[in-house]
Amino acid sequence: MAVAEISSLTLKYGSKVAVSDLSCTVPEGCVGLLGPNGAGKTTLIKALMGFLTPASGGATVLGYDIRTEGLKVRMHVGLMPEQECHIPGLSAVQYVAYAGELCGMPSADAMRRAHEVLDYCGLSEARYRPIETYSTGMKQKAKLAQALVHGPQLLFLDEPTNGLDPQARDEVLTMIRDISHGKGVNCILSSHLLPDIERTCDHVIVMQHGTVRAQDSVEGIRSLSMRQWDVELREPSEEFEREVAAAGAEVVWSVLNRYRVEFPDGTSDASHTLFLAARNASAQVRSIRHSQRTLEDAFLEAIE
Amino acid sequence: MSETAGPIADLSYRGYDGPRRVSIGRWWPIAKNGLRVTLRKKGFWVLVVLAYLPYVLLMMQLFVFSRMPEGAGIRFEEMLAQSYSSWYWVLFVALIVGAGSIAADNRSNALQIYLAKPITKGDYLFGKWLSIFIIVYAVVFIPVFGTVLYAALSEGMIEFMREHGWLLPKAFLIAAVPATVHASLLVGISAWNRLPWLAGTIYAAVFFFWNGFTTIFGSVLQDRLSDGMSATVQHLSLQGVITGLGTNLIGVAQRSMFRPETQPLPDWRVLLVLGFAACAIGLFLARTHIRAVEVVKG
Repeated sequence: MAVAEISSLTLKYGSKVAVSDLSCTVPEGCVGLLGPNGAGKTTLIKALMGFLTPASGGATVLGYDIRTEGLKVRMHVGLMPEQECHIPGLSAVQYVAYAGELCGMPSADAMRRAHEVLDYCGLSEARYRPIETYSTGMKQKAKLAQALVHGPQLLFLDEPTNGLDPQARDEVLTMIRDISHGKGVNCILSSHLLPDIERTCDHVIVMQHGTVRAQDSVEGIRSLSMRQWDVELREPSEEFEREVAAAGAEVVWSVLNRYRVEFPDGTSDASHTLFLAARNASAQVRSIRHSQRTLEDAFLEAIE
Repeated sequence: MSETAGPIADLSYRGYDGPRRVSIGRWWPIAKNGLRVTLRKKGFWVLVVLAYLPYVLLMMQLFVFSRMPEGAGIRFEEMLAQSYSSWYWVLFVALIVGAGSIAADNRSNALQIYLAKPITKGDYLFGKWLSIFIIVYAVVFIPVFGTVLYAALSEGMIEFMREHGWLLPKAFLIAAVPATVHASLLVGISAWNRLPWLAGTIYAAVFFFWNGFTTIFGSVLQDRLSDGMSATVQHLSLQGVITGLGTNLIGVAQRSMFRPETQPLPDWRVLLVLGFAACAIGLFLARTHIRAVEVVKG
């Protein structure tokens, strides 16, 4: 089941088009919204929350229409905004419990749940301190706690690791990974930080200039076209390169005993051809797999 | 027997499957939080004590006069109107409660938190308005009602009810006037600011200058207008609306510092229209500025 269905969505700030005719399906699990600053990630999240009225097109979140069922959408989702934000004059436990009450939870339940999620977010020791006195990392965790208090089915995380030191970043990412895998919470994580997406997400949507440039699973987006294969031999072999060329393929690059081989379009039995070439060259194959690139390479290619 | 090393409690994330209501009273948690935050402020309690002082003095006067022959000819309504008109402390209470109500949320980007929950802008605005209204209402109502009750008990309940019986139910309306005016205008000004002190200063400035201007303007026109018209003109300000409608409800005009003789009451219909207009403007200003995202005009 899709978490969100977006069809021909256009969003404007005045006359400036921030998102243009965007259509995509957001699957369950942890989905990364990846894109450079100004790509329209935050604007898309705000529209899905019902903060912005679409200029045209529409979307559903968890089956609810963002135009007409905003309250129902917000009943079932949580938002961790990008900017530093808190409700002034409250301690962390009051803040999180208050967020729960705003979601319709009874006061006693909201308070009990506030303690639970603050414990989970690692703020149990500081829960009675005013949030104004918190460090940036603690404020981020408090924001996550208020988004989780009512047990949302979907969590929007907008640049959740902004301004965090490496340790705090690691903690927040671990929590996001944990929540979004096996705990019944879907996450849409907006970030321009590729390692954050790579570490937490199963699926990626690459955005630029308000449009979707690429969308796939993390593995899928990292794999090059199915025409390229990486082969590792026991020892370097010039004979292997010749056999590959004779089979109609091309060695794109080689480093010591590793080769990247590209086959022409329409080749169906590439792996068999590679094994055959290795046998003919009397070379021992250590590994053979589709070529992969880093998410950074994939991202740069998508936004080119 | 081996010792257990890890925690026995399950500290991993668990979902919430308890009850959740989407009721029409979504504004109540907001109002309740406003009350909770205000009641924790020491300055608020100092101002409450100061706002109650005129009524304490009035009760002392009533106590003394009740022991004089024939009550020294006092009129209870006149004294109540005079105490009700000592409005400065109520204004300051309203400022401490309301100036930061939305401005502080603007400064800390709290609107994104509020509006990401299943509440509407209307719920948010009404919750904020109600928290100011309840506090100002209580600050005005308790001493007015208490004074009327004290007078009734000391004068003899039956005799008092015969002469001033309507004052008890009227106390509910009397308190609603300043509470409505202050709450409506303060949410409007607060919504347009990010600094509570600035919102408070703007409201106080508008309040004092407008009041001063109409007082001077009314005095200048005093000789050219009838007494009733002059009284109405002098009340064409926020404070004028509050005292004018309040004294109309009490039934006796406030005595002027410069003219101790009995004054005519201002026209309540004009003041009601002005009060409604001021409140509507305040609420409209707030409604237009409450949003979860900055709107960029391009």
